[in-house]
Amino acid sequence: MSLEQARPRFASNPAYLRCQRLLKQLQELMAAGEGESARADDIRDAMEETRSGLDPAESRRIEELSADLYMLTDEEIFQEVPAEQRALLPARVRDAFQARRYEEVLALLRANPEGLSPEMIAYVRGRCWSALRDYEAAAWFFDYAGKLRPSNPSFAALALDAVWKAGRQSDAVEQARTVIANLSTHPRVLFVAAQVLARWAQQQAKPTAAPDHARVVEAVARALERENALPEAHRIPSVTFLGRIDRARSLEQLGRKAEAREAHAGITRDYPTSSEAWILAGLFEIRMNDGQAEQYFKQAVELHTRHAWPYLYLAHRRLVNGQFQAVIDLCRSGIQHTADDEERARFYEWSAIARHALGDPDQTVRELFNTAVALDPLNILLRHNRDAFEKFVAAQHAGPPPEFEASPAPDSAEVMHALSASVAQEAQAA
Amino acid sequence: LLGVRLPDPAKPEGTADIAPDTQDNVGPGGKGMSVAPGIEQLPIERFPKRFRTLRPGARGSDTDRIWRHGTGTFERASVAQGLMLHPDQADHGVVEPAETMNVEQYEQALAATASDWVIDEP
Repeated sequence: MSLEQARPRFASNPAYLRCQRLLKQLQELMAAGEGESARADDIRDAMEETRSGLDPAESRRIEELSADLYMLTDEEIFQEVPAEQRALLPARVRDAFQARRYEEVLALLRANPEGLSPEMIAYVRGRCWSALRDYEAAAWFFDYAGKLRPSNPSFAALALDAVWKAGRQSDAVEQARTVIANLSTHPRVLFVAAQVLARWAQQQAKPTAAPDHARVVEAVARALERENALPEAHRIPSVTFLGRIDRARSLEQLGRKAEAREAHAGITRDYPTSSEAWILAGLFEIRMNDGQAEQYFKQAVELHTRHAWPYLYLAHRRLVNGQFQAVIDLCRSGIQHTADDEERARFYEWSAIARHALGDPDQTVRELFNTAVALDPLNILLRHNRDAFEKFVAAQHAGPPPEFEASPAPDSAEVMHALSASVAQEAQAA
Repeated sequence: LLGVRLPDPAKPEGTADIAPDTQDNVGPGGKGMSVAPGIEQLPIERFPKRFRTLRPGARGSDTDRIWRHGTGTFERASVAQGLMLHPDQADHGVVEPAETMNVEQYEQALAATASDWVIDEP
């Protein structure tokens, strides 16, 4: 086994990103008729300098991106293919896209598939570069699609989201504020702008963030109002859902807790089958130190949520309260919903403690403890509990019963972050 | 132009081909005039835009020409008096000083190869 660390590649490789940005600068100069200028030559020199940091596949992708970028100036030279093959290209593009073979899609688009409009080609390119985690390039193509078809709000929304994901946070925030200040902005773009601003504000200190939280609250309210006037088919429920979550969180950050609670209640009312809505409402109640959290998590469990956290939370509560059969049932379900070793270890550990309490055979309890330790070998508390159990067994159950220490309740902030990311991903896919 | 770019405070750092020492000497070590094994391996920023039907991503200046110096395998070897081909990647190499010499001598050695270069464009 090699201990050598894998070199970051493509959008994770700083040399690749630098080369890509230089390429865009060169593209802009060439588009402005300054391709033969001293400045253009300097950029070419700088591009050449980055080459030593690129492997052949990265160099090839830069070349392919350069070819695609000629689209932005309407100078693209398409690969020549026989007419009968060209007619088959849209179906091949669709199949490759559905199979997530994004590089193949990009290659097929370079043959100018029959019947695909330029804005659709730009949009699909944006989706592909985005799926390849090359958000900078994705933003350029979404932006171009939006210029070709300003009436489609999805292009502008996707472009803004890609700018944020490309790590250009200040640019994204500036754009989001501009979008929100424009009273005629389409609700879908407003939702995404609010999302960008909400993410930004969450990272800032409270006093600094307050104006942006206020903008989020206002923007989402306006987006919801305007969205209500749209036909059903023009709404994307997951985008709206995320916007409402952003609003609830911003209200909470502004200290408007009653409104935040009402916002969460409204979300669970309107999305009663969304386990995420119930979990987020529960997490809010935990932050408010309100005992109602449990009922929200129970609701999520009844919906067979794919998130492990409600099972962890409820199993922990049942364990502390001595409801051991319920602990076993919750842990059994919870294990099915997580691939995280630490979380799985907790479920096995709590099952072991509950089974021991219910008088199950020592061997059954031991196996559960050992599985937990194998999954999370550095967990001191877990090892302490396993050792306490083994000590009790070694004394042939004659000594004092083992004193298990319940591990702390899972960290809700961590879950909040993971859950928000998961919901955002779904909204993006929609 | 046949030659190398020397450090220039007015240009971005890292764009020089070779860095003379304090005595203005240069030597072997993987720095020098960049070359590619063939036109297919030229980076897009050096492949003139006018040949875009061959390489749709070409971004090179249209005032540039593509030159070839001899034929043969792309491997470390002497290419002219005082000059050594030093391949550093499959698609890139440098023509470096064969031994330590003054930077002017190196530039003269490169200039002396001028008549050996031929335009080799598609």
